[in-house]
Amino acid sequence: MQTATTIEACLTGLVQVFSVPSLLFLSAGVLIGGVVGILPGLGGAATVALLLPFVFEYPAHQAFALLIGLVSVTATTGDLTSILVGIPGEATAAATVVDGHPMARRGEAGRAMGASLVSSLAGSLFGAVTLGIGISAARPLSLMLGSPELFMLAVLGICFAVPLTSASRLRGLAAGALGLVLATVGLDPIGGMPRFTLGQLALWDGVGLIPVALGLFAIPEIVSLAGRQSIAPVSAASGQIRFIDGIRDAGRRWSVVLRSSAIGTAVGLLPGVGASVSQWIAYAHAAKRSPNPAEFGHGAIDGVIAPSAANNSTLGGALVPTLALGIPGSLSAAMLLSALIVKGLVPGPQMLMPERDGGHLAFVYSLAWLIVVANVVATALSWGASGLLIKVTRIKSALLVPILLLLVFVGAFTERNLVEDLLITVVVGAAGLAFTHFRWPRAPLLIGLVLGPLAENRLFLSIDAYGASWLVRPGVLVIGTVIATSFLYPVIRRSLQRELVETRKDPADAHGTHGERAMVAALLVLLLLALMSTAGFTWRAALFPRVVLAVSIALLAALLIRDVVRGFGHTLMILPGRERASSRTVGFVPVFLVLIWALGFTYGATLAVLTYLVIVERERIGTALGIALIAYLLLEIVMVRLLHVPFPSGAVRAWAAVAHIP
Amino acid sequence: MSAPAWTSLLRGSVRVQLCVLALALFGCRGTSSTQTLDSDPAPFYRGRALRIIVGVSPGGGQDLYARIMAAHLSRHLPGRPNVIVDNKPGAGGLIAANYMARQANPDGLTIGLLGVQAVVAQLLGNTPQFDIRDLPIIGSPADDGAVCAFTRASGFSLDAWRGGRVARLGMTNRGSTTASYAFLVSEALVLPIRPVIGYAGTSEIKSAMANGEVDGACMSRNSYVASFQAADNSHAVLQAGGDAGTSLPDVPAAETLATTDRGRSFLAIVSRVGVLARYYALPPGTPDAQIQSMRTAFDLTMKDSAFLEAAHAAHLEIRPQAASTVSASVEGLLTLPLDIRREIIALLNEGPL
Repeated sequence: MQTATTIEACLTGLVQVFSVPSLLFLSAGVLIGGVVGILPGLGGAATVALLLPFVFEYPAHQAFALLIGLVSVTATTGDLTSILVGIPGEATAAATVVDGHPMARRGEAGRAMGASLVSSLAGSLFGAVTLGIGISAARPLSLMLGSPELFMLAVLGICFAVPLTSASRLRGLAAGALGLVLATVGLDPIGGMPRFTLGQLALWDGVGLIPVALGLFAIPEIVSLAGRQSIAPVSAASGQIRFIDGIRDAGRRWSVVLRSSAIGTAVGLLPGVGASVSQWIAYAHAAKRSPNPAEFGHGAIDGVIAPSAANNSTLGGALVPTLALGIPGSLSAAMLLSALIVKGLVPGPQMLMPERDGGHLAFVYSLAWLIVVANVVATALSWGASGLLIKVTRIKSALLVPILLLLVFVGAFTERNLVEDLLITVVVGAAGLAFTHFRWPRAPLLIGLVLGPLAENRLFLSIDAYGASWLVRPGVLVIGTVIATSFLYPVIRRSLQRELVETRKDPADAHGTHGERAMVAALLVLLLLALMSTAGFTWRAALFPRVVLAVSIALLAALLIRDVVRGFGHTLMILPGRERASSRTVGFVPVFLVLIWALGFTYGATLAVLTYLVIVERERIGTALGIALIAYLLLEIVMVRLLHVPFPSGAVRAWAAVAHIP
Repeated sequence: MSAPAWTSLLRGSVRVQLCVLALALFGCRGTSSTQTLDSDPAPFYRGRALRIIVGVSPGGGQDLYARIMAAHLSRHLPGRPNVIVDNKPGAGGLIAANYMARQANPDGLTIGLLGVQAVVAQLLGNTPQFDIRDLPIIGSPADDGAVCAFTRASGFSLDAWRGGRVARLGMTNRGSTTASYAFLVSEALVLPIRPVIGYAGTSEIKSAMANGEVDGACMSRNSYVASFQAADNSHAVLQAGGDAGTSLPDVPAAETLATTDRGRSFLAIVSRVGVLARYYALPPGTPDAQIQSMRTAFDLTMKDSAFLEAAHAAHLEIRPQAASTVSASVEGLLTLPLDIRREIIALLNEGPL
């Protein structure tokens, strides 16, 4: 009886998806989601929020066809941007940059895209199946996960991030610790005391994930692109042929696809942790299990497959607690939850009952089907467009750089509609440049930033709710053992295989340059100042920042000491000729920012694009005007008219208004 | 089983639906037959964009209030401006309040949906940069109140609580609605609590209730009705402030249980906080003409049947509060007698006294 009801609901759900209006709405969602995914920074969750009021008036099946269509493909096309231009198309696609973009740079964009698309599709299928099967298991799962377990999982996630660094474990640890320090900026989560906010309201809610992701990954990539002719060498082989290779790669590495999908879905099931984390865990896992870990970071195909599968499979997993318990498993799921409530579909046990008993079981299955159909359509469309997309990698870099900078600034702005986030992007961008130059891993910093608040909140909640007894909960002990093993195992293995590790070490890794020492010293001073400023905090507000600051300071000091012990003798950082163009681009980034601040996005950014092309790149005026027009249309038509992004009108106009100048 | 829902969908004209979808996506809303103010020869708002600043992220209840307002307010303004929602989340609504008070142009083209947090922050002395009273008030679409709810598994009842059993209450940060309501209501009725503070939001509290980490929580009534009430495992035991009884007629009102003047004065604060849950205001210095036309448009929107239907469909309560009522609440909170004010500050900043 139970099985018959389930099958009936499953089929009804399928039929609902294949009704004409649903398919039309789904197509609209896939198209919007596809574009939003490709545009850096502008996220699926934010776009769902923008569209919510427009879908109120439609029946739930159609509204959700649009919304699920949109959300489920952003991760797919976001990966494509990461591969093609090295800028995360979504915050959830940052991990795909690390190996996807090096492939594009050596002319294998087609292969990377093929592997990514197939893995994305497989991941979303895995997530959808989990949603269909796992929805009834949501309640027991949530009972198992209290604050102590979530705290331990956050610690586990941070520990997982560290082995990402094949180069230097110490630098990886330091970067992760710096991410945790950055996560303490803002109001403390309990007493609401401002910490390290420099008197700026914009910092009260902390440093946003998107400005940091764009600063760390996009700015260095754009600067490096400015020093080359185009993303890929113009002589690279035809993309379409290599596309098939990518599909074959994904087929050959099916176990990586499957394991990464499982990781993505499992992370999605956890409350509040979405694809921005699952992608990295899957990446780290793939790197750990790979027969060639040294290839990671230089264009390993597993490094593309793992995050692509994981960020797509997260949605299906995240919808399980959302639908069954009303507890969103990710940011996108939180948006969908509010849409559910608006449509009168209150999450809970009714979701597991058939429609004839007043439940919504067929609706739940229709969501799973929507994820499947949306991803099939998106994959087919992306495949069709891949030839065109690959051409992006052959566009002259001089023309691409200003448009990419523009997209980075738009993306940084749209997370919170704050101009201050542009400044954060630029400051983090400077750090990103230094990190890339000195070969510091950037992913641990991002993971520290995401998981830091979760760790801090859940630690205090555990103490509040359970006292000291949280330490002996079975879940805590199990996860604690996993963490201890993951830390001890490499140490033991290294001591057994010391020689092997020594020979594999990168020469640049053994000791740093003067530039790196300067960076570490500057960071040390900054962190010591921050540590001193915690003197005025209440003990609860101070505890977590002091611990992570102390750890960071110890790690940075260890780096410096190691360097001194191993001896100096390195030359100062010199910009070689090839990088001169990059340094001009670096110099132009602040100009871009100032123009946007003064004249607003539409005029300021358009003028910045024009100025860059004419003055920095010495392009012909006709070409420059053409590109500037594209920038203008993108801002005015797509962003303002279509997506209603509330751009500020600029300081000059605000000043003119106050001074009553018409 | 009755005819599946999807068959009825096919009966509607697909073409019409497509057109509506296209219009919706391109922001060109269809015209409506409701009353307008277009008769003015040179309407102020024609061809301009009106922004509603909201201090929360997109997607939640407060944001929905603004978005439904955005879809319907335009019809009642001369020249029918394009109305867009500008989310400036962060710092418990203070980023948006600060923007409204210090940065927004007072040209009548920016209005803010403010929550109570800015007023509470000023009460606690945390907003030296501006005086929230300088912002001309437009009105509020609905007041709100406090509800304390427990899981059934916890075995908590109002009698058990009043009998001295300590309630583990889940809260977000201090100064938030969940913390302020819990502290004020429990202090007013001398009910013992053990705060578990630091959840990121009400969904996390709901999760903690489900796995028994906390016994319950106090929250806004609207939030309870929208997302807690229907879940099978929780029940409200107490409510306070706002129009108690309209949406939860069977839940006892704290006001009827308070026995001391001190308790009653704390509950009066809950009530005032409820009035300020979602009020609209303009930047300081906005010309009188713009203030008046905005208040008129706001009042007309509150009576607009299309607006009311949309709000109803989204499960948002509409109980309009006039500018004068809202203003009196702001004034009442900020001019509390010094002794009460000190007590409130200590209570909200440090927890149960």
